Amino acid sequence: MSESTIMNDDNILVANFRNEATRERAFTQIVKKYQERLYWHIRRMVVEHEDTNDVLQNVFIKVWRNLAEFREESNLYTWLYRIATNETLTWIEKQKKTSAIHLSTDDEHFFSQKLVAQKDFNPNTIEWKLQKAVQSLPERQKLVFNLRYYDEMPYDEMARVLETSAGALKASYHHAVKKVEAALLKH
Amino acid sequence: MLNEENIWDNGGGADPELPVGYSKTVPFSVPEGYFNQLSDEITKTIEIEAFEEQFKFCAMPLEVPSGYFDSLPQSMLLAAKQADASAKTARLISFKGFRSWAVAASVVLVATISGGIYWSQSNKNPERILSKVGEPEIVEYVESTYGLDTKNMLNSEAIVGFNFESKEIVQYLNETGWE
Repeated sequence: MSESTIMNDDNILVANFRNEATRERAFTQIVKKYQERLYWHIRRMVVEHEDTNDVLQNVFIKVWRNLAEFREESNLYTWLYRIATNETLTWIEKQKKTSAIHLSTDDEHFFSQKLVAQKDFNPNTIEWKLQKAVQSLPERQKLVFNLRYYDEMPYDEMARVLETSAGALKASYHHAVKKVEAALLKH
Repeated sequence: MLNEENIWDNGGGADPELPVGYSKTVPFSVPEGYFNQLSDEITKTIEIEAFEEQFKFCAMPLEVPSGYFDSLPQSMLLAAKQADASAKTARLISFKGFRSWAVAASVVLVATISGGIYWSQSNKNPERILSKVGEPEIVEYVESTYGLDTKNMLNSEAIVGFNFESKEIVQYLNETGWE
């Protein structure tokens, strides 16, 4: 499906959302369309399913409240990712304040523990090794890595989501890759 | 058929000449520092591609409860509507709360002002002051302070004829150390 078709579909969904009679149906269609991408975008950052579900719920509550005022100069997909990113970073900030562990100094330990607690965790398989290495990245770099590596988002699109330049993101992704490689060699 | 040799050789003939006034300089511009950064950029791209290739078949090991995404649209709609409803209630409660507090504060204010006025007025009212003092206390005070036989004096018919105003009594008491 081309980007213009997706945007056209999204514009119809937004128009239907603005209509009181079709609002709920349009909302559930939007959730259905983007739920998995947004879920994984959040889950890769916060690790646990329950936490992800909480953040995702906040995202869609924000969407419900603000979609009617959404300006179509950016596309819906970018707008949703931006909300999900902000909600995720806000959640992590809250964790920092409430957790006994100060995430700023021990992010790796905090998220690694969450990983270890996951079902079927096996430190010897390549999938879990990669996850552990990614969790060692600082939050912003982890976001860049995840959007580029897992979501294969183009740099221009990422620049719109993270409100920075494509050049800076390329450099950040390269740094992230080098750090992940170094972490894989270390463990 | 042309091969590599005869492409460059071009059949041994001379190159065709451009019309006079045209040069080999192209009018395109290149971003500043492009050639200095090019090798670095290529190296980075190669490194990234090698990394991505290495983990190409690496699946996401995190699991999602079964059927989670099937019920998500409806549960998100429900959560959004509930959040909207509770936000409206919270606004209503906070307005009601504000109204209740405003009413309570007004009542307290009115009561305080009224009480203050009443208290200050009642303190100035001589009849009220006197009504609080019992007759035995007055008698005792007068007898001990002035050495008068109040029993006989009060029985005296002459004193009844004085017909004192309470105001005058208070004034007298104040002047003679009542308070």
